[in-house]
Amino acid sequence: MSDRNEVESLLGAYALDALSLEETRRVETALTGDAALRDAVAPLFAVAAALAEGAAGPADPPPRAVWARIAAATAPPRPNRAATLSAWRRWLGAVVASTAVAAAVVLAFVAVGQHGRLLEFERGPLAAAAAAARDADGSRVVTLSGDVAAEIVLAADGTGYLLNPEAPPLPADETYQLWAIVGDRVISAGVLGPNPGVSAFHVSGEVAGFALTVEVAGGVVSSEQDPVALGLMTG
Amino acid sequence: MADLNDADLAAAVAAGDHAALETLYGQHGSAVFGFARRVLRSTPLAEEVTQEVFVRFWRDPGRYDAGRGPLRAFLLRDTHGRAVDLLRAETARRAREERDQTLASDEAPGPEQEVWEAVRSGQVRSALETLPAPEREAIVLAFYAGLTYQEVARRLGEPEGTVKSRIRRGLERLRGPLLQQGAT
Repeated sequence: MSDRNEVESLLGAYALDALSLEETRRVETALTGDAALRDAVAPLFAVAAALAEGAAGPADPPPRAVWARIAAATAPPRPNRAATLSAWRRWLGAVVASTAVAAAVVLAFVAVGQHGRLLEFERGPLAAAAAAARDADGSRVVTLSGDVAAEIVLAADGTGYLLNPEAPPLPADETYQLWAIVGDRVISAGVLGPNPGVSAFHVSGEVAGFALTVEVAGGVVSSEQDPVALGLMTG
Repeated sequence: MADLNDADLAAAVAAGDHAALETLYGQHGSAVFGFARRVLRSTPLAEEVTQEVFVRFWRDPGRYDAGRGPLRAFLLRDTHGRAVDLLRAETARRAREERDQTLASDEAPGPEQEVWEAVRSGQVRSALETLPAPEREAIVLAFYAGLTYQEVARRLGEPEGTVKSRIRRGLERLRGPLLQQGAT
């Protein structure tokens, strides 16, 4: 079977999202360059949409909080963004672009979904560990604020937990990345994916604060982006 | 704003018109949420998917091509993709938790049966019931249960090529009853 015929044989399953990630990418690559294939799959998409309508049912309104979250995620940048960036620059100076080091991290995220999402696994055990760390002696809690919000619990041994991230989902080709400010250095504490949930990481040294940036998928060694959230340790 | 057609509404969103996004949500949010909840059988996960679909559209409305079909169809397709991602992740998580247990295939109806039973539209059910049973089974498992065609083949004990063909033939057969008559 030719490659095109093989792709054509996958169109029905593609229209139903019933392909593996690899096959999906293969079909989508073929579609971008083949108008006949696009014409062939269009009515299959329409049938799939009708199947979806059939399962949606009449008048199933979402809770009001859903629109509130959408509105918040799509709102213009907050007016205090300049102040937040000023604090970031004060702490990092010119070191940001030159001395960031990718640190070894431990994260509980594992799988990449069909559309490039990093999906949250083991929500229960991580959340439980974070709660235990919060109550442990020597632990500190820092709130990240800015365009997105989150909370970090940092245990005395350097184990950290990112909690309650209120971060709008990113496109599949972008990711959130967590940075630890240690002295005058910025160290990557982990690549969180486009839709972060609870995660664990480890960082060494005297941590002065944390920041979140939006980077290309896979993360970067040193960031050239303004942080979307920043939190400084107190006490 | 409510009188705009799909192309104009999408263009307004692309221009950063937040009121256009709110109109879009008002028109299609219920369908997106309802469908996500049917597939995921979880209100919190359905809320998450609904939020993602509209935020994603706000960030990248250029993915929608008005020449390729209605905006509602585009949003529902995105909803299905996101819901399937979550469904497969949850399935994998449950499989890890239950890795020492074996579920008999003839136990209580699986999730695809529950979703099939939740297909509310009489027209869609009628259209699906006109299909030969092997085609209907393959489509229901692939679409409403979020299985890949390979998983459907394993579930049914059929070759993968056979399942691919059944899905394609079934969808082609459904074009008449579902598209020409405007199924809702």
